[in-house]
Amino acid sequence: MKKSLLTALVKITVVQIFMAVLFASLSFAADVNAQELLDRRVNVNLTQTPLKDALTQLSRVAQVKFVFNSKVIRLEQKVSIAAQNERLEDVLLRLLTPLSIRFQATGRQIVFSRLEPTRPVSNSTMLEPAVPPAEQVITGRVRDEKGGGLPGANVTIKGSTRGTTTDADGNYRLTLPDGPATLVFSSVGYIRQEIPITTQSVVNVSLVVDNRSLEEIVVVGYGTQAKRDITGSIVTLDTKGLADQPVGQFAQQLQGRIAGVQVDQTAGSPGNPLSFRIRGAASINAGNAPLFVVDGFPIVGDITNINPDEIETFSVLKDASASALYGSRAANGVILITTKHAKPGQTTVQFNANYGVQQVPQRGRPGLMNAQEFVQFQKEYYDDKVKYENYKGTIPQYGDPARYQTTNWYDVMFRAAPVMNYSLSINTAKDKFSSAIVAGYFKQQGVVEGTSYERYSLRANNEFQVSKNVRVGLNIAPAYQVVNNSIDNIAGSFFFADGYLGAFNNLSSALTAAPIVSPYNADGSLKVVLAQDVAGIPFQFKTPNWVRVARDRQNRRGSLRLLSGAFAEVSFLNGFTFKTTASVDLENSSTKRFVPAEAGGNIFEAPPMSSPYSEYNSNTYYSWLTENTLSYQKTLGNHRINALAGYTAQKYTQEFGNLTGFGFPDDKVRWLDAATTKNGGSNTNEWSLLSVLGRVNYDYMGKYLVQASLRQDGSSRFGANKRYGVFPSVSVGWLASDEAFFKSQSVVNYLKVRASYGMVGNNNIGNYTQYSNLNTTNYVFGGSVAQGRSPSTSLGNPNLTWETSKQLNIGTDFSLLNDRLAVTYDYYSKQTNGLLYQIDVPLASGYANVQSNVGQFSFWGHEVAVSSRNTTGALKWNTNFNISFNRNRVDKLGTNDTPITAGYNRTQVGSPIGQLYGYDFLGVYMTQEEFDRSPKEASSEVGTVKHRDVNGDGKIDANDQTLIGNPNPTFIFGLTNNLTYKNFDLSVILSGAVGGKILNGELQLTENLDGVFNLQRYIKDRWRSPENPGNGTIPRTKDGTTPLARLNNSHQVFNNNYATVKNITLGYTLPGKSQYFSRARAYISIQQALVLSSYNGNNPEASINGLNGLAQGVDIAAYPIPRTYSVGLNLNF
Amino acid sequence: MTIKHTLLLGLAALTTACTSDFLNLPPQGSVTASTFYQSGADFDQALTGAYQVTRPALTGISSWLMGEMRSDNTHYEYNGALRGTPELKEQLADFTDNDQNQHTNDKYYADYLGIARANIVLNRLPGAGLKADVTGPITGEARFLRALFYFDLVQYYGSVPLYLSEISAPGESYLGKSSVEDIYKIIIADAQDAVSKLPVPKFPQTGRATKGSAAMLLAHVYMVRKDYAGAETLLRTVAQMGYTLLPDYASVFSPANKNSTESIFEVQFQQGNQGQGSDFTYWFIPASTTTKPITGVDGNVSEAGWNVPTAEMIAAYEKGDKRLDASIGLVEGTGVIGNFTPTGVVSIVGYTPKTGIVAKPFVKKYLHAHSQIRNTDDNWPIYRYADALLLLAESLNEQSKTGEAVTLLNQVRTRAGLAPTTQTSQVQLRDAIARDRRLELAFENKRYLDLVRTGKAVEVLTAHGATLKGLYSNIQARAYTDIGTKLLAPIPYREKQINSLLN
Repeated sequence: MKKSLLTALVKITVVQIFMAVLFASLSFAADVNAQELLDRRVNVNLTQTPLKDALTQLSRVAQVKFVFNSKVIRLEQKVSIAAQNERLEDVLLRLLTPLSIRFQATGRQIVFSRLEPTRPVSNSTMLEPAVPPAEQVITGRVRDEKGGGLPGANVTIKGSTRGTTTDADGNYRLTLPDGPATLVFSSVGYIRQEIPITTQSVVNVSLVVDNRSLEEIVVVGYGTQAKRDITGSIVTLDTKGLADQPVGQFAQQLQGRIAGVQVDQTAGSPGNPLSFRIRGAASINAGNAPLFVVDGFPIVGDITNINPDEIETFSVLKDASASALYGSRAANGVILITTKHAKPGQTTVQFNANYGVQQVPQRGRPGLMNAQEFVQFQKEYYDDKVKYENYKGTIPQYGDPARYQTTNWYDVMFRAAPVMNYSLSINTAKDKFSSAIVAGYFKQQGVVEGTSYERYSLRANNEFQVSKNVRVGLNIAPAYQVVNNSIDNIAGSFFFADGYLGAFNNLSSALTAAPIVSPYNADGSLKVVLAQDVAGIPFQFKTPNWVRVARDRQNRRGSLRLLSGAFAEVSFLNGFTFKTTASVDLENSSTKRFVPAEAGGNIFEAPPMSSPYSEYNSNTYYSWLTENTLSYQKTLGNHRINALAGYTAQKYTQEFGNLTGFGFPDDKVRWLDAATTKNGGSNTNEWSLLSVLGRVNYDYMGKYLVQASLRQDGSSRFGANKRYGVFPSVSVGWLASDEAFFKSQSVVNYLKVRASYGMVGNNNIGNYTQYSNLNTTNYVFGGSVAQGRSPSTSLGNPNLTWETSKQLNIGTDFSLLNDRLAVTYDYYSKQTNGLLYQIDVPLASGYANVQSNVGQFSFWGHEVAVSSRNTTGALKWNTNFNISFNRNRVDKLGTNDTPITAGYNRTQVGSPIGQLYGYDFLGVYMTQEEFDRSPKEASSEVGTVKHRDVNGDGKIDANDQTLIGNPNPTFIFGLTNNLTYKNFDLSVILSGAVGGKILNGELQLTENLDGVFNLQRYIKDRWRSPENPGNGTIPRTKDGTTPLARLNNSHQVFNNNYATVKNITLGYTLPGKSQYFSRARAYISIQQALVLSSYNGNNPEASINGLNGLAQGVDIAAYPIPRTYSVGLNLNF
Repeated sequence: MTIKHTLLLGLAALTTACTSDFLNLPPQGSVTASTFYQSGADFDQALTGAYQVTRPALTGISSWLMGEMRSDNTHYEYNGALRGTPELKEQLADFTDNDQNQHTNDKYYADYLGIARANIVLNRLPGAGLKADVTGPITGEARFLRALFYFDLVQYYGSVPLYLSEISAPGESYLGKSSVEDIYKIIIADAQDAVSKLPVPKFPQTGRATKGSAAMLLAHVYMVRKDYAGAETLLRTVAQMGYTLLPDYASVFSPANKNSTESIFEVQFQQGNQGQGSDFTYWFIPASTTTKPITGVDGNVSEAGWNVPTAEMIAAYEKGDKRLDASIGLVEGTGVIGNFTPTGVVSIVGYTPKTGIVAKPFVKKYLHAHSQIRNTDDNWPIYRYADALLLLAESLNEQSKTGEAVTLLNQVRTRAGLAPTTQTSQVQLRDAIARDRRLELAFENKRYLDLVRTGKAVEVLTAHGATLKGLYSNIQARAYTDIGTKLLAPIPYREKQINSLLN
């Protein structure tokens, strides 16, 4: 067997890491209590050795941690000590007593403190001269939050290097120099206190626990870390306070919350997934969605079916040092989701309920013509047709416009719809067993008939402490959800003359319906066909009744998802932990579609269809993961090291089948059994990933931090020649506020500076892209089908590999004014190389493209997050604000920088990714004179649209298309305010973006001048004659001249500056407890409360392609986001 | 130490056991090129894939748009409400198209797709170690197909790139244009090799290319090249291969007579659920609210009414010509364009208009009984014996062998139920052959290229445009102008954007 690179690497890295961490530790005894600590037997033999080295050696051989203040204890003094199998306590007594140092064992450590010289020192020759005579002796006790003595706390004199540490009972004694002084009391995890000394001789202090503690533990890739030790860019978010939003997906709760993370709701249909983009991530073909990791398991499926109430925290890994342990999947950032676990000693039962009503706001509804305006337009249309085109055909006789009643087709599509959410949580953690169970039910009716979302979910997280060193756990989380979405166009999309694919859904189509037509028959039943009931109308489409389409087309996806994981963790020797995990992500889903004959058809094809149509698709996937990690922690004096090595394997298998059927006798049986013609197919998809990973964290004195990590991924997706990728990262941090010089001021109480650099990858290159696949291309010989096989349109590439993103991050975290104001700033610069690029090749070669790793994007940006406690009294007011400036540039595309044009967008070298692309609209040729002197298109005439002759060749054609807007915002921001006053609480969440552009693609239909659709109201101001030329922006209706006006152009592009008040919640907590519950809170909540936007559409976040960097910023009648008014209740028992 | 050893052993075992197979996951749903192209059966499948391209290349929408609708044979039914996609087709008829027209682009791409598939077969076959009796016919068929596609390309697009081997790396795909001369050299060499390697037809035929198909193709090439003697020689060999004219003209196109003794090469289709059906007739019938009265199958077609025979075409048939009734029918019905409800198909011969009833002519040649909408059983003729006879007649006439030419022409006329031609002079006979060629091969995508080949295109089509402009107000002023500069279709915009060598 060929020895793989991976095998070699496993041997090298694992062996070395093993050796490195094992050699010193093999003789260590297991963990013990304080007295056992002192009873440990040690061997030592040192002569004239610096105290520091002596302590280091003792610490190592006894495997204890010594805690002391190096300013008080002089480490350079030389000592001699010899001991053979003696108790540690005896050795320490012998060693330290002469040095006036006393010690006490607390927990797993031994705390030193200086004994003021009360008796003669025997070996005084080895000491520095004695301290100057005492002017003032201060004594006192430092207490912790519970009133107990706090050992090991530092007591220093501000502005000097003098000081001491408290003893095991928290007592201290310190001699002050002459003159005024200020004592500074500090201890890790507590807020620093300063006390000016005037005449006191006893100063007792109670230190307050630092709640926003820098000791906060944060979930990171493959473990946890103290927040102050973090050197990468990681943002964490606790779900407390998120839960009151009446939404079905956690993604909706994250909108506007995290600097650098753009979460957009691009369509409001129930269950529609939101789009994520971290730090402007973009790729050409490999997507920009981050990797979601649930409880350590990189999941592959949907995230919508995770009940938000199950989640405890989010950690967003933004830079390479934070995410490199996810290697080839980390380029777009990683979102770690940690689900709820019971806290030690906790037993709680909580019930949350929320009920709301959704409505589409008035703002953002399109301003289309009413019946009178429409009829007037039709009359004028035919007047002009006769006048200019010598038209002799039928002219519809509408009669008096006043006799028509207006149907507002946008309005009739919507209804008010309920949304509800219930969840019950039970947490217990007693003795050795802990369990957290969350059961949830969510149901949302859509504001369009035929759309809804429903989810039943359960999660049980259980852990059992088998013995002191062994812990096992089992999580299981099944969820069943059903999404109905009748508005997806089942009948397919259409190609328009310009060649752009119009993904026009039923909402879009409904906008084109004539306002003089009602969806209802006289008897109140729904019409089957919309036709203008006017005699002899020649050129009008007959279309389906869009209300009926929404109601009767069935498009239902039901899925059963199971996320489950089991682990066992063993601590051994001292500081080693081995963890083995097996997880599975499994989903079985089926999609059923049924289009009744009366609800079939499309904008060009009226029902009834010859037969109903039905589809049944099933999809099963399972992904399993095994992980084995070994971690090691060790503190040696001021040196602290954490190491992790791991080995993981993951495999994904998908099987899917689809069946379609026609020829149903009627609508009575809606399953394929009743179809006379059935077709079907099935196939499978697989990928596998085999990885080793390692990470080392080192810090010196807790303030100089270094981290290095590495992952090697072998992937079935990579070409045979490039199967293994290595993703390293390194980062450093400096806790400047821990330096002595920093303590001389009190404005900035915390300051950390950090920097990281690393490489991560994006492996979303398709499962089989590397292969030259042969497709079935059958033919007929001699009257029977002959099997044929031919290459697919994509040329295979055995060198295909992951995209590499090199990422630099420089950041700082600081707190001001006793943590009243905390700020995080990050600058990042990323360069994605080897973009999976579909190089278009001449079709004359027989291929359309070849997948290749050619292309480079640059990204850079700034992120600022500020959180402040504005008031802390009876009225508590906290504000969190974040703002992100993301920039990008295309550096290289393919082999010859051919721009990528995707529908409405173009990506070209030198510009930001995904610019809107089309003609530059200049207006209308208003006069013959203007027409004569202007460049023209072949179909141009006076009164037709005038676009800019970009290339200056004197004529308008496809080559004059240009960049007409940057959909990337200049900055995105979020603002959250939380206020509490007595029993009331209020939160307001706002998110927005400024500086981007959006293209309203629906205008291609609602500005269509061929007289076949309903139109924007302002079309009445079009050019009709030199005497009646309109407002100069709307061209004439003459046949053959109109297509150019509706092709993508700058007239359809709008500024997209917006701020959306995502949620306002006002809550009231009932005072006291009752016999039924321990705490009860009621609240009202408004979701999508207010949209302030320069774009007049319903949803400034709308985008038919989501946040796909290459094709964003196009709104085509997106399903509107409703406003939800809800009431809710939280009960704790 | 035991713990360490155990762990290491465990890790090592996992690693070595997994890597070789664990990461190797080729697709299960399709064959990959690296494991294919081994046996004769593999190559036959690859060759079948090349045959399959004859459908989009030679019978697709662009084929009749460019072969018929761009000529004086047919026009379209203008549906003013249906803009967008239909405009692209109208542009081709009206000579207002540009290099972004999907249909001219489609034909270009399809021809090259067929060429690429043939190239793979021709490239890989020699290295597969197969016996000559296997490789011979496969080579012959592949070279026939490649010649057929290049001939289509060079006639419609003129000077185009010449791809002669399989593309294995992207760099190989960028080629500049070759001269028309060089392209014809390749076509002729391919066709000659195909003639030598392919077997004579055996009846009933299967639809595979035969020696007859290759000889007919080569003769046609010679005719375009005005090498009449060369064409004559080859066509005389074709006449010796057992082909005959079927007695009844209409039956030539009947699915019952697929690959008959009159067929020299035709594109194969088969109705049913295997995706092998054709749908020509659904483009040719009028746009209708229901298709049942026309095709016998329920459904509706909104984008139809293409390739509609022009009045001058209908008038071109002599009285008694059986080919009129076989080729063109009338759909009777009521309503305006876009909202037309047909009542049935009637014969155009001796038709008397009825009050309140609209009668729309349409191409009937490909309308035969079938059971599903847009899923017909009709093959499409590429070369048939009548074509060979007329080409032979033409080649003889051009060499002043008018006597024998008359005999051949009359064979075709007799079958059509017409009297022998009365023309005797070379010039008169040239016109007579051309007129009968137009009617005999009507709606078989021959007309436009015949007009170009015989140098009549500008004259005929300019006059045709003037006629249409008089009839239809929707035709733009710029339509049918400068036809002389538009006889060749443009190389697609996309190709020129991607491949700078084409500019």
